[in-house]
Amino acid sequence: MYKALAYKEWLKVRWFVIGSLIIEVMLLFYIFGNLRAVIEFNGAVAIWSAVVYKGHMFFSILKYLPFIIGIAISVAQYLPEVLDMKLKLTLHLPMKENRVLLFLNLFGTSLLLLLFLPLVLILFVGSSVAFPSEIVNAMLLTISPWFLAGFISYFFVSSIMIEPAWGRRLVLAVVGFFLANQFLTGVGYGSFQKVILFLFIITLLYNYVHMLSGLRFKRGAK
Amino acid sequence: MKYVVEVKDLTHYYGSKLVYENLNFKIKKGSIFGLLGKNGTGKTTTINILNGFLKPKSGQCLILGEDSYKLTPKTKAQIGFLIEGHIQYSFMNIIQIEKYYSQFYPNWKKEVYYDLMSKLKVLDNQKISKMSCGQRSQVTLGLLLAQDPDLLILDDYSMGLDAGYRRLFLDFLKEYGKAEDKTIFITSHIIQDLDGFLDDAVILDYNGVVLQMPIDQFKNNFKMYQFSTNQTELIVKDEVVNNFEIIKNKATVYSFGDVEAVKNHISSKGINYTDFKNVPMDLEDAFIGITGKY
Repeated sequence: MYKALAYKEWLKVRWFVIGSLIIEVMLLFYIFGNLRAVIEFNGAVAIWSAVVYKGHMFFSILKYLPFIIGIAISVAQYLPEVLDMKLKLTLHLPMKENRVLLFLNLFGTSLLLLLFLPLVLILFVGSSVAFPSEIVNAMLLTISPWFLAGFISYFFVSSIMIEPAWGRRLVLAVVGFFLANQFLTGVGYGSFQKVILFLFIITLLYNYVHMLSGLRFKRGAK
Repeated sequence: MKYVVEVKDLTHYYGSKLVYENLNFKIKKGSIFGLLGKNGTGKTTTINILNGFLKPKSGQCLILGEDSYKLTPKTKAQIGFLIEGHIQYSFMNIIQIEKYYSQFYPNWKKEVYYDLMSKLKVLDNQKISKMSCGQRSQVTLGLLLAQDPDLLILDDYSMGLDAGYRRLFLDFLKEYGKAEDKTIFITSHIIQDLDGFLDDAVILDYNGVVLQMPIDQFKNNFKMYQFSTNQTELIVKDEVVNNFEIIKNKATVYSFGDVEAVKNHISSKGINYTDFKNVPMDLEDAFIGITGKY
């Protein structure tokens, strides 16, 4: 049964996943292409100096990408479910409703992981060639909240779409936007170093809001 | 189990607006039960409660012996559910949707589905979103029949369908219900199609239940009488006159009373009449007679 559910979810999101992958690859080419050009023309010292003394983020183009991918995957997955209340069909399947909702959520979350992890890995490996480990580690710390924002955007957009009451939708949208914004406000390397664990816990907790909205949908809440 | 559905003292409100109060009905195994009513009388609300998608303010609804709000996966597998408008996953094609649903139901009858699909002029890779409403209705019907449920709950199967597809839908359902001893719960706002199809019915009005009885009993006993009179102001609803209409000096009275009973009743009110006649009705006439045109 879970295999069939995964099949349906995949049919909905596949073009969005492929589109996201293409954008990720293009951005990676852009980042490393630029990096290579700068090193070739100005030498590695110039870029190191820019990073260390001016806080130049050669990867800053990625800042909003996870946030946007999170929204895109959420819309692709849940918009077809809420149009004409098709989620009723899914919840009428011979399975426990909370398990179905949890599975849908895990599917989306896993997809985001699959989309984000290789990107981070390539960024890590590629940067390690050009920079010392201190800069690479600082880069990882800097981008972590950006990628957590991708999960947050997925969770809150999913919640907004499943939530049956307009008032609550508005609250979810405001809280979600505020939260995601907090994840993206860092101005320098490792701005969130001390609170990254806290942000991670908030992201996990926000996942539960999505479940609550789903169960409220099932209950016919208005 | 004698009754597949048991609705006990069901009451529901949307905010402060009462949908109905103390709704009671039972559906026998193997019967075709109609929930009839105009738009906005609570048919879809009842369907949502029956499927566990809405918690009623009070009362209880048992489906196959289980509280409808807490249906187990096993019981859900025995219920086929048609959402109003023949809603299905429109991003799938007929192959994909069969492949998907077949994984959930142990008694899945693939051949029933593909037999119906072979009659449709659709391509295998044609998405459901690109189909006409009639074609979509056949896909949903095929999926319901392939699921082989004991109870079919159909919310306004007629929505968006032309006469041919409506007839086709009911013909398949009737055959299925009879052959397999299945129970069908159906709502519709097109009453004439259900003439000769239903065994039992509840008729809802804006104030709740207007009537509940076997459909043959309703058709045989509910009568329409027309007569001419100049004292139309004396005609009111009471224990004999269930409903009435007045156009100029022509009165139409709906009643469960026979000719003599109604004649005596209107005479006893001091109404002088001429041209009294009993006018034959079909199910739709009777429905309008009991619920009114507004």
